[in-house]
Amino acid sequence: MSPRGLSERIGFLRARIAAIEARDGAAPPRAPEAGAGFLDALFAARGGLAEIFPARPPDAPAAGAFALAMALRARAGRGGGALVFIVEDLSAREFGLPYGRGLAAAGADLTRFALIRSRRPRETLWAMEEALKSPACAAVVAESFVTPRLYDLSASRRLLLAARRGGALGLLAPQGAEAARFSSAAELRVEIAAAPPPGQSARPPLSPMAPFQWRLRALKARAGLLGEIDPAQWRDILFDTDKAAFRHAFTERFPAEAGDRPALASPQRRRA
Amino acid sequence: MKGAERLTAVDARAQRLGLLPGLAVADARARCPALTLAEADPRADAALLDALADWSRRFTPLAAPDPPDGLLLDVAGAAHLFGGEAALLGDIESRLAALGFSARAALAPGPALARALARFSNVRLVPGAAPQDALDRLAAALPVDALGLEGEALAGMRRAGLRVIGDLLARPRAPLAARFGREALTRLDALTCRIRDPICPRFEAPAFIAERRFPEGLTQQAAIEETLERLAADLCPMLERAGVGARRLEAVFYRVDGAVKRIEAGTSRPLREPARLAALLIERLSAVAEEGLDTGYGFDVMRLSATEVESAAPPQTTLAPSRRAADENGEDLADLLDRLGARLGLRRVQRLHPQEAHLPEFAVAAVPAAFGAPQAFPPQEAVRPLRLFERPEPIEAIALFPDGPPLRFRWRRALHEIVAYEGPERIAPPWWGAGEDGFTRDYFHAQDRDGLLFWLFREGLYAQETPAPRWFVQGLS
Repeated sequence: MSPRGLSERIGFLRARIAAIEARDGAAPPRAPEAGAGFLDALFAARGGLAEIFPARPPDAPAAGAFALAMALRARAGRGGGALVFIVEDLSAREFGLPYGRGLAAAGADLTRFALIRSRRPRETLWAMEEALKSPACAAVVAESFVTPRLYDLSASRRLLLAARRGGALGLLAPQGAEAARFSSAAELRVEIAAAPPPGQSARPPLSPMAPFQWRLRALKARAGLLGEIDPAQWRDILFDTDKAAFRHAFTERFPAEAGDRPALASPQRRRA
Repeated sequence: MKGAERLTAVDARAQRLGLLPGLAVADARARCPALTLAEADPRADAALLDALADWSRRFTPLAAPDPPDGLLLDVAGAAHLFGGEAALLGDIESRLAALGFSARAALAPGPALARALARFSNVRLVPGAAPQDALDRLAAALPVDALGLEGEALAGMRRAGLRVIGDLLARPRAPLAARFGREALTRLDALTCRIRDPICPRFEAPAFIAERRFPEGLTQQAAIEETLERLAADLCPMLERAGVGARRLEAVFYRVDGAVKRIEAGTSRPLREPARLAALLIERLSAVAEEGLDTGYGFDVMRLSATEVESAAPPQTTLAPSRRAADENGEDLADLLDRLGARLGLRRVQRLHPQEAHLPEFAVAAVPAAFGAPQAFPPQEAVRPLRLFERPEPIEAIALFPDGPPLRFRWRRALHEIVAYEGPERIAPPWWGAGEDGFTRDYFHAQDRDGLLFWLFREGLYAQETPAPRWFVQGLS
């Protein structure tokens, strides 16, 4: 059976189970809200790990901005906590350092903020793990020139476990590497490209929201985080810095999530 | 002197053969053809002396090098720890001998007298309670060289027939001062312990010290870490009694063979919990261990001191400690930053502080988290990029007209076509600081065809400040 056919069958079975549960009185699992609910499952969980790849090497600042937006969203969802940015020396030379005035304008609380300058990818991963373990952090953003050899399945698993322990969202923004070469335990992997300016009119004024608009492609999402994903499809997405929320994304409805099926279904079955 | 090579120091065997410092090398070779010569290296000697001063801090925290070849230790209140003054002297001499130095030690109520006794006398020990006339008698037998004077004054004394200190003590003071200078009298008083001349220790003695001594050197990492934990447990009650917490810690390891290793750790808030202190040091230790703490034969003395302290209110103990409170006080974050700082270096863990400056690169300061409390940023009116380069990067830009917005520019060999822009925002350098060199900058936010965002500026007003303004990219979003 082709993978496509398999997922259709699974979708059908999920729908059947949802119908049975609804008859028994349990609410059918709701699909993530269209638009505003983007990535809410990731933020609702205590702790997680996401990778944000730039689509092309020059898109790295856009990927960094997206990581910042996710960190701000995670902090808002947690109701506080610190942000920790880890920037490698090479990364700082290539794309600059986070700028306090810009971060403050984006809504970051710089009294609960730390900037860590690491020398090497190995140090970056160590610092990221330490920061994720700490109960103080809401989100940890690391920009690094990691290699697939250093950031492998076990390294990412360590980070994920640390994030679960500390309840923080880990955001790794690898720079100068192709997403396809990595295999990791991260729950979400997205590719970010800078959103091209709208329209082709002659030199329009620059939108003030331009730094918070991206084109996004979800390459991987664990446990039905985003429902069914299409790795080839690019979507436009926007971050509202005032409300600390993502908008305009994933307007389709999703089938029920795979991740929560056994937990919901099994007690019913045991009672029966 | 005058191009001749001379002996600067001799060992015991050469001394027995009658070779003395100052002798020309040619003469020395004539007397003893088998002479082994090594070129004098004053800098290495000074370094060795400093290392020895560090080593001798195992006996007392106050140790000063006394160039060119002496050490001064202030052992007041420390001698009884070694079984009395005589035992301490014996210990110092035997340990130095074990390190391969032939040293002479003397202990006296004043540093000048001790220095003179070690160099010019066989008396090793003068008890601290000795009466003044006993000290005078002792000093009287020493040669005038013991004053440590040089040149004219010393030669003058010799010419006047003053050979020993006793000759000086027997004479009225005023003519002596007139003849040899006030300095000579000061030295004389110091020598007879009439005045206290201070020693300048290599490091100030910290107020809070804990130390452990071991009969055998510790070599294993686990044992060293365990000792650090115990030292921290010893240190913390002292800090608590004084109502302070440690901001900077220093652990000193005295190796059996005389080498001294030290590690330091800073904290971002006053700490006095033993577990936290020990954890910081162990973190630092493991960071150092990557380059090698070099245990060698092992450490037989370990000392932990709080070199900087800050007053800290005792924490409120509650029956139900809440996670929330620690979170709000920023304690969790401070602990995390301490741990990161201990491994990566304090300068690499930073907080961003707003600054009263218009030039963007000076409007934010990255301050090591250990040295500053967090500061909130004021609300921001102007649009600023999310990332800033440490220094602006020059670009080749083409503008529509010399003081107009940029059309396209080449940065890092790539050509960027600007399709949307915002600006200019004019930022002038501070007239009170920059003087003639500062050019006015016109900033533009620009977006290229791919959507990449740049923060560019043109340096210099066309035709007013410069005929050819230069372009830079300073930030990215």
